[in-house]
Amino acid sequence: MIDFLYEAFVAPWTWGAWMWRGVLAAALIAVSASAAGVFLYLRRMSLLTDALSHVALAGVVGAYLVTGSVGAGAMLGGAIVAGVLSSLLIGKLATHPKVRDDAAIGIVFTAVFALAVILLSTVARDVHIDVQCVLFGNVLGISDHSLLLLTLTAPMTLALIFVFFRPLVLSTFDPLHAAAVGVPVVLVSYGLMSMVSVTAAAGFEAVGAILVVAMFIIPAATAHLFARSVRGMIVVSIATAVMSAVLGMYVSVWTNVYSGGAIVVVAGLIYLLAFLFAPEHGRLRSPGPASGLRIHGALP
Amino acid sequence: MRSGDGTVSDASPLLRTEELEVGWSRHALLPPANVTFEKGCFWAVIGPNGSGKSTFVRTLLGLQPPVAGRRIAKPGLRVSFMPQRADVHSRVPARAIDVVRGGVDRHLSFLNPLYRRRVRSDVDRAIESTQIGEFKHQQYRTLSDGQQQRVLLARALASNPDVLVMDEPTSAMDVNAEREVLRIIRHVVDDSGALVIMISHHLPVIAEFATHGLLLDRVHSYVIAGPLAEVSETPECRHLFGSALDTHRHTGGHSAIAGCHE
Repeated sequence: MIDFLYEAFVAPWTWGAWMWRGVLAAALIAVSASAAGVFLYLRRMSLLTDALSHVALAGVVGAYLVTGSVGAGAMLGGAIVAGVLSSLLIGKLATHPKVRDDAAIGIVFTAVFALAVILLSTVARDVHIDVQCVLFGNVLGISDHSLLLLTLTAPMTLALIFVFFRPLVLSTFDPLHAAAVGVPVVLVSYGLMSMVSVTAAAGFEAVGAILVVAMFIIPAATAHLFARSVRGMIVVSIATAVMSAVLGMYVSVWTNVYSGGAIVVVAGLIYLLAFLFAPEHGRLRSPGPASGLRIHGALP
Repeated sequence: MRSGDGTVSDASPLLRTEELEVGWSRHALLPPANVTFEKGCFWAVIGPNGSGKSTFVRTLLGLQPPVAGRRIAKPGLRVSFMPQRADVHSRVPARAIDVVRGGVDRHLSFLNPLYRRRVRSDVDRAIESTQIGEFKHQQYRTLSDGQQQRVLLARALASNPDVLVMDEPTSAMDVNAEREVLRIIRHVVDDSGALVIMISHHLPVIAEFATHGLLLDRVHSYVIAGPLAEVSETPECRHLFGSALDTHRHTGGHSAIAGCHE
């Protein structure tokens, strides 16, 4: 019994630095993406992250065309620039009265992604971009560079959310009222989208596009089932994201499956459990007085 | 400026428009408007559906740019806005009291730890005057439509606004609840001398509570502004609403409101 517990919970941490690095990377991307994801979820812009992860490919190709290099620095830089530019473009389109938000996202990201594919098949034909790596990353073989980037962007994301929490909440709940009382709603929106691009690009190499998108959307959706305040929602979102990251890594090393996939599957299972058993929304909730888990946001 | 005492404390109007044209993408919906909004007045913005009422009000608030002309707001004006209920994203988890607190949150004031204490009495007063105390700890999204509108009104009142702008604030209420809410609003006007600008379709209530009318019609292209009694006499208003706006004017007595001249 003791041996089993040791093998299960302690041994993985003694296997080498790659395990620590992998878990750290997954947890860092989980923290920043899931916190920012709360606001995207509440603004019905979750799929913006999907768009940005596609746009990142265009950034990588663009960086190659400009610098002639396929190094990690150029790729990340390109992805960040492309992400910020497209989110500004999406934001500009979405604020136009004749364009729906979801259409704005769909138009920009498909067009930019298609452009990237054309460039890849013509002028940038000699770039060797591993599609597998773009989609799924390689968290257990994460480079020093990516890890450093994640350690910088994750605390930065949290700090930005803390400092601009009030304008973010006000303009998410009721943009018209927020604008009327003087919150720079458009600026807040661009800031959020730029932050999402940076986070998406930073997590890109580490965990791949799919996992980044999942970390933006699934924990926030899970938290929304429980939350009674935005603060509480952010806390639950981060907690479930980190839990998925750590559990997913365990599953991945024990069953020898691809880590990014394992993390997303665990996050999905946590969402399923929450959906079934959440106190207010759960499908299996027994009749009678509401009981069980409730997240009371601390008074702001 | 208080009526009667003769001293001009502050002559400039809270809000006024100069040849203001509102619309979308450089296309004006309505002819140019020159309207002066004084403190203590209760303006009703009326007109058929799709006449440009919301667009006018949003432009007046500076939420969207004018097509031509300009709006002039008194410097330092405290504005509160109560949008249509559907414009609020009720999926955001928040208790009713948190929503009301949103009305006094400004900028990054959380850096000031005493801020909450300072505004607590404002929040409590707004909750009390709108009678939402019994459900203030419930989640906003679980409240009924009419309750949600009361909460939004409390949020608008909590900041002690100079100008209170409302886009169909009582659309989900029955007649009694609506009357109750408008009484609350008029109390606020009487106490603080705020300027109220309200979009509404409920003519009897407008006739009872409003002092001024702003009649818009995009199809026939006019903007008519003035004291409600005068606006209701115009042929355009007669054509649209008959004599629905005439009732109760004799019982009004709003000229006593500080600063508002009918």
